[in-house]
Amino acid sequence: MGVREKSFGRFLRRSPLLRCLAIYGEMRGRFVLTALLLTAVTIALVAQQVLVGRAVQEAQQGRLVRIGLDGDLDYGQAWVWVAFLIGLSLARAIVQYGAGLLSLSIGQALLTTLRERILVQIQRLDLAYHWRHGVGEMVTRMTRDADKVRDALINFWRQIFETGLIVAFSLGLLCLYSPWLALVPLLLLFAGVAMLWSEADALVALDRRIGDAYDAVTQDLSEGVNGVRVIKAFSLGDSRAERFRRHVDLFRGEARAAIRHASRKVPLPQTIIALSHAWVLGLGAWMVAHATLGLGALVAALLVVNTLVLRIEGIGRLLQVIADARASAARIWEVLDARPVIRSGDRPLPAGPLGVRLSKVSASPLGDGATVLRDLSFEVCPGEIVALVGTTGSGKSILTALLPRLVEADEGLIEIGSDEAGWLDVRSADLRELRRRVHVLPQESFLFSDTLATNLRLCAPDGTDAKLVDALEKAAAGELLGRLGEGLQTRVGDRGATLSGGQRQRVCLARALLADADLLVLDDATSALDAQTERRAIDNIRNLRAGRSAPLTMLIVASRLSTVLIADRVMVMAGGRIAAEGTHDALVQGNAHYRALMGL
Amino acid sequence: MNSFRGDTALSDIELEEKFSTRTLNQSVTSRLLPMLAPVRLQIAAVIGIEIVQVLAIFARPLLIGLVIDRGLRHAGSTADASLIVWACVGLAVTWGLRFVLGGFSQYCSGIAAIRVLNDLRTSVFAHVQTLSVGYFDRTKAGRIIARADRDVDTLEPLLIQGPPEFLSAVLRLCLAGLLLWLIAPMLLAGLVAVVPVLVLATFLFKRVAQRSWAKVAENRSRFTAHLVETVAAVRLIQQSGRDRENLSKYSGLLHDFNSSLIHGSARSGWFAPFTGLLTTAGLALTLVIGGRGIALGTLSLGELTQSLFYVFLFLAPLQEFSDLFERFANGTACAQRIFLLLDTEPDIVDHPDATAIPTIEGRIEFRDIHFSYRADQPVLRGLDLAIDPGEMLAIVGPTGHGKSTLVQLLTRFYDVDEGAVLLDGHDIRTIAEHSLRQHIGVVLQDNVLFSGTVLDNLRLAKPDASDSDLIAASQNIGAHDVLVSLPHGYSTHVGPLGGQLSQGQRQLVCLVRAYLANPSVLVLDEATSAIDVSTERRIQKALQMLCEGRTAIVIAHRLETIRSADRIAVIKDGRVLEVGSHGALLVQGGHYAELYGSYEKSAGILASDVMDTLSMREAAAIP
Repeated sequence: MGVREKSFGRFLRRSPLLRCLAIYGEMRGRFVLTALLLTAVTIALVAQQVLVGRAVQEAQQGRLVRIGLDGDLDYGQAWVWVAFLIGLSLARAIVQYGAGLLSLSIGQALLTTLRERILVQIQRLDLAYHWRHGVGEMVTRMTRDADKVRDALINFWRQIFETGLIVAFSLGLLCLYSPWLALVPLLLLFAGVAMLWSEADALVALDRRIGDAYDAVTQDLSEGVNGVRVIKAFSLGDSRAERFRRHVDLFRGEARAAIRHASRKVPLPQTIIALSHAWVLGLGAWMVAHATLGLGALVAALLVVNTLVLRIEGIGRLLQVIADARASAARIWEVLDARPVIRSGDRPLPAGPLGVRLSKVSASPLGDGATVLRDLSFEVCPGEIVALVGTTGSGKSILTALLPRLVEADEGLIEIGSDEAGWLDVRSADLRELRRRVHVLPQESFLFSDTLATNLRLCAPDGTDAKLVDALEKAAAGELLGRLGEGLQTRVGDRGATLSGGQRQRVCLARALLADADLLVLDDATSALDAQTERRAIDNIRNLRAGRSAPLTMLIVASRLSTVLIADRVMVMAGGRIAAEGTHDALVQGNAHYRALMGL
Repeated sequence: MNSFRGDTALSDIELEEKFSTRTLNQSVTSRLLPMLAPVRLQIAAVIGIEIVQVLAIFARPLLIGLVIDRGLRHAGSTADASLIVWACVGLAVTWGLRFVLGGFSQYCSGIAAIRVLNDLRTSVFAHVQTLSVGYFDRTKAGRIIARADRDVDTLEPLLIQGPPEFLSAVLRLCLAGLLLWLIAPMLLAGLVAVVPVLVLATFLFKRVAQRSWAKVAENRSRFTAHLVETVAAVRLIQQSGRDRENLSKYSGLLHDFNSSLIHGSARSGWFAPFTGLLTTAGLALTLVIGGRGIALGTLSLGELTQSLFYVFLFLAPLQEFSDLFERFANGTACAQRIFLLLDTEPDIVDHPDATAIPTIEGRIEFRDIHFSYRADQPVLRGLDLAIDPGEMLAIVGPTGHGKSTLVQLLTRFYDVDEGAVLLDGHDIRTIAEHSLRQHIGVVLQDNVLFSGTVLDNLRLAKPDASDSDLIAASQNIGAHDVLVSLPHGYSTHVGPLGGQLSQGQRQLVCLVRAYLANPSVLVLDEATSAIDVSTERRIQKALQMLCEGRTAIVIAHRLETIRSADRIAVIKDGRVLEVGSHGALLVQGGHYAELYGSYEKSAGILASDVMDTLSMREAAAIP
């Protein structure tokens, strides 16, 4: 059993779409019910055609409507058939309605499961994974690929399953009448589908090229709209329009090629499948003539094959959708199968104020083999404010991400704690607690397109409005509140787009303050503020230290002198390690590199 | 300003609907039809094919009827083999015609669609490029893009496939009716009884479905937006440990979507089963009426069988009409939106007698300027400011008080409400836009690059420059070290909107670009805010050089950046509070002195010997 399951798992891994479908295993009951209902619907459809055939046969035998001796017409038998037909059809309609809803609902349940797994995985995967793949790629995977898989899965019930049933029952009926009647259509069907399937990959490849060509078009569009000021400033309007026209022409070319290919290759297999109709008519007529088949059966067979051929007409497109979704599904499973490197430890953090101690830490989180930090050691004592300076690319941001374990070190030891309460390796710490008590405010400010209050409450779910306002005041964003029409309930738009850079940074700063962490790391998080405002914010934060029961420890990555000056101590980073440290005054006196860095 | 969530799909559709009742459908149709002129041959071919197709469809029941009536009964037990064979061949041919001609028709309509839609797309884009900056600031980028993207695509079913399909449906309906009538008028009469029911059902279905789908689309865009946001916010979510809440919010959105979808289907999903039922009723009626005909001897068995096929052919087009109608409604709405965009005139156009000025000195005067982006919120209120040729003027002041607005007015991204901006004494509204922008170079805060390499972006400013010219310019300005150390140096692709470069790298490219354009007036609006201090130091000298001999306006909040300016203007509440040199303003002890004081305090009391080494200070001391 175990072995069989394992090999089944391996099989699924090779066919990513089936692996998506395997999620139906989590809702077996409803799956079976849907399948049964749809089967009933299909049987009713075929049965209806058999009934019509029978009625025609009775008409042939003059029994459908009888002429009485007195010339009166007896419709009795005809009404019986009408009642049969309409009754069956009514039952079918009701079941079809239910089956339609049921198949939709479990189809959506499957997609929801998949979508939720994707979101969970996005949240779970390490920051380094996201850095390596980039936001753009992840978004494409999660939206475009997921949509393609959805298209294929939505087609599962209506197209694949139902068409499969219709093929099976139609051929079954033909087989009942005569095996020969069924055999040739079956072969034709195989041949046609095989031809279509062999074209599917080529069509998908053509579709891809159209998609790529169209990407260039939409990119031009987006740049034409978002870069409008630059376009106007350099009078680029005409050349951008020309470039757009060129890209549209490329797209046209690809689209034409795809249409040419499809209109050349698809009709032949379709026609081959349709030959079944001629075969059934020919053989059927011959059999009727030799009295081995009833006329009613012939009519029913012709009706059934007609339905079959019409059903198959769309199969070319369907195969293309499936072939296309295969690759997308594979990419999605690639993300879902990725394992986060960073797993939570189980030990609580030491109580009281927190310091941090790094010994011989190396890190190369970008996966390109480049070591960003090497052999890095330093200590920040509890309650201390330390500034970290260094040129762009010296690894400051990576260093900050190491502390709450958003990024994992390759070598060395990172410990959090204090001499009094003891030190704890971050790898054995409970991740949630670690990240709650060690808060890093990154350079790139991020706000959800939601209200200001919701954004602030992200770090203080139970914070009262007063507490939020207080945090905004501390972050020197008090005046901002007055400028926004609806105060805390103001929506801040996509990624906070309605706010200026400085306003965004202050809101993010307020949010970080609300986290009430013991170790607060600001990664160049006040760069967009003017000197006065920054001064106010930093003074307020400094006063925080006085107001708290346990002193707040701060590590501030700074590029401006004004920011550096509030620190007790300054560390200078260069080449992935600490090149110098000391007070600002001492460094100004004794370190040329520091003077150059600070522009002194 | 803060109506973002409310401003999504549903209200969009409502907006468009409100708007569509205002515009006459007639005008849309009369504007759409001329667009088909270049593809009339293809459209004619498609229509021709559709007619042949319809005939092929009708040949099938005829052939079957023929076999049943003539092929089988002929001469008792021996069938007319040759007739049957010919009928089979005929049947195969009709299917072949259907698929081969179908392919050809698809080809023709596809080619036609590609032609028409992309012509339209191109003209929409070209038009968008002529619109004024104000339009882009008022309209969400996504909406403008959707006009040239999704909306154009939605026209395809209306313009290209619509007419032939409509024609085919009408033809099939009429032919099936006619043939039924020819076989026996009673058969047609029976079927016609079914029609009102179908029409009524279709009408109901359409109303229910339309309401449901708007909601589904809205919910879909919500959960997708949340997913995209989550990807961008991974770090924040991990840091704040809010993954469970975020997931439950997503699950809630998914649930909303699913329930609106299922609810919508529950209300509209009866349509397909119901039409199936009606078709069966039609079949049953035909059986009764046909049975009577056979009993009376007025109808042959083959004719009855044919009639059964005609029932399908008669009722199917009626169902297709609802779909066609919906496409027509959708397409018309999109066409209206597109035409509305095409009818939008740029706010700022060249005055009829606007002139190009070949060379300028660079004297700028803002004279009693009043300006507001929105009627009730004045930004500039009677601002006066004059800048001499070759002067470097720095502007300081709190955010949101009108500093950047001055730049918008000088470059004529917006026009003043009152007063005038003068360049060398000419009101800039009398100068041709192209000429004005040629003389004024700007480096803005939101520095945008276009996809392509760094060199491609530099070349935008000087299309005929060689690679080495461009690199030399970069060296002159001090950006070379940073740019050459990019992964592929100057050939590094910057990604969409320059997204692959850091903010600082982008700003450097923009500075070099402005330098290459060699304008007489240079405006730097927070142009170096994201560059680290040591790099800024390095390019500061180059900037100084760059400003030499030109009029320069510099907006910055790093006060050290602007100390070297000839004069500094403090702008607050839309007015100039004070103007003067750094030294003079300090002596004056006004706003600037206060600003500088707090800056200096935060920057630490720098030892005067350190200060004295600043080359900038020396430069500033000359005047």
